[in-house]
Amino acid sequence: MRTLLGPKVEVRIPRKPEYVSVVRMAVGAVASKMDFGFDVLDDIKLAVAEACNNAIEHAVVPEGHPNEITITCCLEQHQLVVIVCDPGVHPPPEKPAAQQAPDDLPESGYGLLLIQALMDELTWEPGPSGTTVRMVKRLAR
Amino acid sequence: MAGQNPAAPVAQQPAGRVEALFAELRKTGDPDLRERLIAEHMKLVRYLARKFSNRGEPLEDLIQVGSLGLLNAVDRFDPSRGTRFVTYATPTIVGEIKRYFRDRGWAIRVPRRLQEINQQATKAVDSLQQRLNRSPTIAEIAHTINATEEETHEALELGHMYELTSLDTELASQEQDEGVSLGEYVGAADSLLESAELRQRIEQALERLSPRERAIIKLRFFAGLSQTDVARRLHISQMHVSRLQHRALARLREGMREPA
Repeated sequence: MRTLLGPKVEVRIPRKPEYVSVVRMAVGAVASKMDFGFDVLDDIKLAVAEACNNAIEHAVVPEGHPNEITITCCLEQHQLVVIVCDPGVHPPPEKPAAQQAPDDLPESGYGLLLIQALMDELTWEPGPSGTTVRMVKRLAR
Repeated sequence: MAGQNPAAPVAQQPAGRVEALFAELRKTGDPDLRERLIAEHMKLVRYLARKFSNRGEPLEDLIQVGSLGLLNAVDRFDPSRGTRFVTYATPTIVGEIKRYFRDRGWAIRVPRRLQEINQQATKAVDSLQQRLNRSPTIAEIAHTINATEEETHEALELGHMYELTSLDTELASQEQDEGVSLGEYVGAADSLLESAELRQRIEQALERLSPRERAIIKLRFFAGLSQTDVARRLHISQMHVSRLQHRALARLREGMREPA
């Protein structure tokens, strides 16, 4: 994972849907510190909320892992980086992709597609201690 | 572990059944097949539209503009590129939905809606306080004014920023500089201007002033010069600065209220 350069704000929430609005507000407030337009602010909030929803709905959390999601925002010079970590493993699709009709696509797939459409960069990393979604929104030059 | 790019387990999956159907469509131009592919992907449109449904436009309208995006994607997708159709279609559909909001001036209306909610919430706090004999909760306020808790919280949080316009009025009524504490004003302005959306609105409003009006506003309120100093700088009388400043603030206020 690349080093984060800039002031960081971290929020940790229980892996429950009622806490996603806390993340939305926190991320909105952090992103407001940068020169994003109002519509972009809402895109960022939507993307981060989507990553959290994914973590809540689709991650399978192994026993002993904390059932929490950590959201880290980093205000870099020309971009906002948001990293959403959940302690879960995302089950691979049961059927190979080639056999999947669109209606079979897991909503987690749609969610990541949406994030990708809203943000400038998106990486999704499964790891031994959980899954990390990293997204970047650049300031318009 | 190395980052997977461009993300998404689904987006990364190799082209498959749907993409094969597109290859066939490109070959045959079969209208029934085109219809079938559109129908199959309406679920994606509905999913995406739903995600934007909290922005105050009817879901049905969003599904409709989203379908436009889907139609475009269906007609433009090139299955020989090796990307999956959903990966190609999603930004097209989202783009169409976002354009719809842009065309309807959403980014201007939302701060105004928050402003309205703020006014309603402030009133609700008073009446609830009297009724309950204690300070109401966010949930109670939100319920009273028929807004979400998030909106209410945000509106109350942002609320004080919108007092900028009344600040202007106060300053405009000051004929001379002596009554204005510039340090105080500049300090307040700093925290006020932290909000990107507000700053954007101010900048848009500033753009609509004449160059001289703009210069006066910037020198007076951003650089903190007195009217006398501004007058010297611009080679006009202090009276003239006062008049121009008065007019510029009125136009700024007007500009902040109007959509860009």
